[in-house]
Amino acid sequence: MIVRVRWNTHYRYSNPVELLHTELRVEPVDRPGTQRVIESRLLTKPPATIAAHEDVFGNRVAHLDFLEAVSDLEVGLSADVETSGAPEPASTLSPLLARLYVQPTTRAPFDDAFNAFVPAVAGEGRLAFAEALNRHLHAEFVYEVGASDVGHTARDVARSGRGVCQDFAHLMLAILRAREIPARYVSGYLAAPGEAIEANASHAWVQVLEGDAWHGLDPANGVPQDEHYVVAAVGRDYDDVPPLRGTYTGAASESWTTHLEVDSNSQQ
Amino acid sequence: MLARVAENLYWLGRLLERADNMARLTDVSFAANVEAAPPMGADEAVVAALGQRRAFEEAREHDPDLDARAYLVFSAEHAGSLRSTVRGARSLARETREHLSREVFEELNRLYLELERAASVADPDSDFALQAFCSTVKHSTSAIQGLIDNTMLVTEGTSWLRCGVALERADMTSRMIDTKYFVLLPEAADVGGPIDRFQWMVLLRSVSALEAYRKRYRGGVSGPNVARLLIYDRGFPRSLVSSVNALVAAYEEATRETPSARRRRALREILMLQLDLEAGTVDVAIEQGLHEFLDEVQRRLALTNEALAADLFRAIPEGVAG
Amino acid sequence: MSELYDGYIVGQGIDEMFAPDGSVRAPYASFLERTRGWDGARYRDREEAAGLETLNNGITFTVYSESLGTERIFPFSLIPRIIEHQEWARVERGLIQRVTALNRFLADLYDQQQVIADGIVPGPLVLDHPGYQLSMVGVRAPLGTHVHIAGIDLIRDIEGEFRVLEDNLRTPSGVSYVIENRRTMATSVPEVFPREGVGPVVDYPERLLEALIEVAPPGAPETPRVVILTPGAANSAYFEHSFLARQMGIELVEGRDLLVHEERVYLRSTTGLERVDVIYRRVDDEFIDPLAFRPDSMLGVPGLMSAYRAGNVTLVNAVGNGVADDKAVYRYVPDLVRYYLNEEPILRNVDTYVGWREDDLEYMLDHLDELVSKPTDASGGYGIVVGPQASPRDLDALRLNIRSDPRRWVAQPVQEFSTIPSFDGDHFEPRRSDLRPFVVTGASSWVLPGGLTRVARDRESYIVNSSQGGGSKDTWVLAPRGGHAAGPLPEEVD
Repeated sequence: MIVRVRWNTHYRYSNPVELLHTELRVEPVDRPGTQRVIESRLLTKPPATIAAHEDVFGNRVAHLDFLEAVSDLEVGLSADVETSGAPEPASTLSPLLARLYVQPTTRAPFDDAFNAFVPAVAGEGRLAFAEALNRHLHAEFVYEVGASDVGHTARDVARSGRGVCQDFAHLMLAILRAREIPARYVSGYLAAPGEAIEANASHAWVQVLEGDAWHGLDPANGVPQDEHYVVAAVGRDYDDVPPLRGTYTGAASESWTTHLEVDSNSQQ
Repeated sequence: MLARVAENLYWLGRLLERADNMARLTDVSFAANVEAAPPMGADEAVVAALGQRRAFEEAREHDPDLDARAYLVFSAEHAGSLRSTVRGARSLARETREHLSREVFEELNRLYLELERAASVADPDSDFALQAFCSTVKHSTSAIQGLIDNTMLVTEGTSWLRCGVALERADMTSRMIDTKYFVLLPEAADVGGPIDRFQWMVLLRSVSALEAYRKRYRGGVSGPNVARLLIYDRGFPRSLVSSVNALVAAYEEATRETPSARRRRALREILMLQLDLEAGTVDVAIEQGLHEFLDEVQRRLALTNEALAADLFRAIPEGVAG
Repeated sequence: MSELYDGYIVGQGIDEMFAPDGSVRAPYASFLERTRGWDGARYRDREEAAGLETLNNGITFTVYSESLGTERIFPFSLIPRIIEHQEWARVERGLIQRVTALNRFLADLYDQQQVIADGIVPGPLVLDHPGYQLSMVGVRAPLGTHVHIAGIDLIRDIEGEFRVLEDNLRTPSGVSYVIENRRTMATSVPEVFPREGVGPVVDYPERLLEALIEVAPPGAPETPRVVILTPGAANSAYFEHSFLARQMGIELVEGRDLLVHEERVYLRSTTGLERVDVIYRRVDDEFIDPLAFRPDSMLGVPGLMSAYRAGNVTLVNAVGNGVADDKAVYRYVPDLVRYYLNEEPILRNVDTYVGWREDDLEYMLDHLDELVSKPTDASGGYGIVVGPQASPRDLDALRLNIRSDPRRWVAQPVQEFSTIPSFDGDHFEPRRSDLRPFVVTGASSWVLPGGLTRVARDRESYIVNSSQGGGSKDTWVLAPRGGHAAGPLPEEVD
């Protein structure tokens, strides 16, 4: 399937700001066996030279800056990605990644209270457990826009019983990792017809390492990752993969609007 | 050179010169006080000359016994005191130490240590302690300026220091003349009277100009002649014209490699100032209003200061130089 | 010998000047000869002169706890630590060996972590460490050097052997005091120096600058621009930052003086933007780039890590060294020497037991009453239990604590270390002392002869920190017998 992502964010500053630096983790990269980037372009207004590096998780991190004062910044991504829906083959993890993906984080801490959300009956093996957990969390928790805010952790969602996709993902990661199942947070795009939650939107889900592949599971929707999903970045939790992060100097307040369109063409 | 360091050196020059002037003024006010009883108010005159009259009056509302000299010299709370000025200079010197010679830093550091010591003794505000300290400051700041000339390589940094010294000196001199004319003398009718002459002499002594005056002019002290000496006399190093000439020279030296866009605005102000002083005479200035004339001088100096901060010290440079 | 040494008693430990039988040790023989006949008044005068010089020169450090950060001078004592050439040569080799292994270790940790895969160091010990910086992973430090400036703290133990007490691999300070102490000695007591001279310290800035130039990025100009990045004048080590900038003739910059544009670092000068190639930074990792680390940092330069990663600027020391100078990782350094260099460590550690190792843990739990137990995640002495002074109840509580979280704990035997005479205004008294040599590494390593000798404030104290009122001394490395260390007296520093 070919998924087309058109993403645009527009920042406005109440006063011109100086030394504006921005890091973006929005561009999909080739992930052999599961997604191939046909075309990807990142553009800004005012125009800037965009550099990029690969971070410790293998993500493409783009960065740009402006020497002159800026009061308006638009960043746009246009990407066409061919997806297969298959699990992503994993090579042997370095000792570092092997450690990072089983460790608790601020947003996905270990907490015995989370045991209450473990399904009573789960199949044999890690993957079966993760799949059962995926369905169970979807059934137990209420998806509610506005039920979460930027600082939320798995504890908040466990307490309130409601949240958005990233909250579901954090809770699921905490439960998996507490059982020493390596798992990672995924941010990306979902092009799904019909009723799916956060379809045509920026999305977050989970991947579990089993055997020699990363298997995607989407607890907000209770389904596995299929060809409608495009991976933008992976990490331990949201804090490793925020789509945009920046700094500037100047006394100004910042506001922004984001627009995203994701659609698919299954005819190829 | 780093823009921040240039700015710090410029301000170091200003504060050193300011400390020197404050010490001179305060020192002279003692002499005046000994010889003439209050309504003359030499202390208040100093406060006024330093442009701190309003702040002082406010402070006095809280503390009616506040002594003008204590306020001006050892007060740690008052940001405009001599103590705060020396502390400020020393802290700038610490931050720019790698641009100063060891001797310059050590002399200023000694002055600072001496100030802190003097301020901590039992009765720092006694006349003797105040006078002794003012005298230390005068000698020390002169020594520092001498050391800058004698021990430091002529670099962009020393030029910024000199810019600060020259601009501050011009500002102080114009302010002192202005104060004498319009603040001190209660009645216009007193012009030329004994109080008037006494005040002119105090003013001359505060800038170490009494002897110079005697050498230049015969007869008694007269206002127009004092103004002529302090504004237009190129032979007198603290005159406005000498200070502004020094400012122009130091600024041109400091900004020799600075792109025109960054140096232009301040340069225009000080060149205009130089032109006014070179072309003018004291008679014309008095006829057109000395106060207005001095006001214009101070306005240009303030604009220069602003332009330096905005265009040179703080602005993000446009192009990439190296 | 002067009667000022009458009543000088060597404590339980060992003394640098006197053997237990009261005889003078060889390195001090000539020194005592030269000061024969000096009376108390003379020492008092000279120490006073030295103190005044220090104060006028503004050689101060800032004490934060007092109001508004008061500046203090670092008390200076005229009797030097004196080390024989032979012994120093061995220490020097040991230090270079240790720093070489630590450099290899850091390069490995930020690359493939082979040392963990091979089971030399427990993975979680280093990978979960707050000093392990993920943003450093994959960054190639030029020449593979991560630790350009190391301060390795040594003590002389009861057997007379120098041992490593602690590695400082982030922003070790103190070298300015070494140079200034030598200058002070040369001006206040020039007549006590041996005729053959002592190992020179005055060329440290030159050596450091050479190393900084060596590690410049490959694309840098032939004379790269090197700067020192300081947190500012309020920092406790500001004097040193400014001192080194002056001595090397390079700019001392603050974060706001630099900016990053398109992955290149520039400084803001009066004439425009100027490229910067090497930054000797004295700002901690967490503060150097608000984009990569603490977003609230006002001290850093946004985007600096991106320029570093792109290989357009070199940071000195490298980012992420904190993982290698940890209390528990210290235990493994001798193993790292064997692993990376295939050599036996020349300098030994102080015996240390870590809760990470089962054999160590067992020993710790059996000998709590003899050991000093320390939590690894606390500093400033918090949580330390001194076994011989603890009650049985305290020890029981400690045992429970260690059992419940053994990896948080390390333990060491009570460590006695050597004393050096200090003048107390009246006569000489022993003071415990340590030694921090400095190792500079660019393409190769160089050790400053001697280092910073710190002494405790009073006779009983084991603490040599300046913040605790400790002082410092000049440190002499003697010339080889029949040779010259450096020619005559040290030259004027400025």
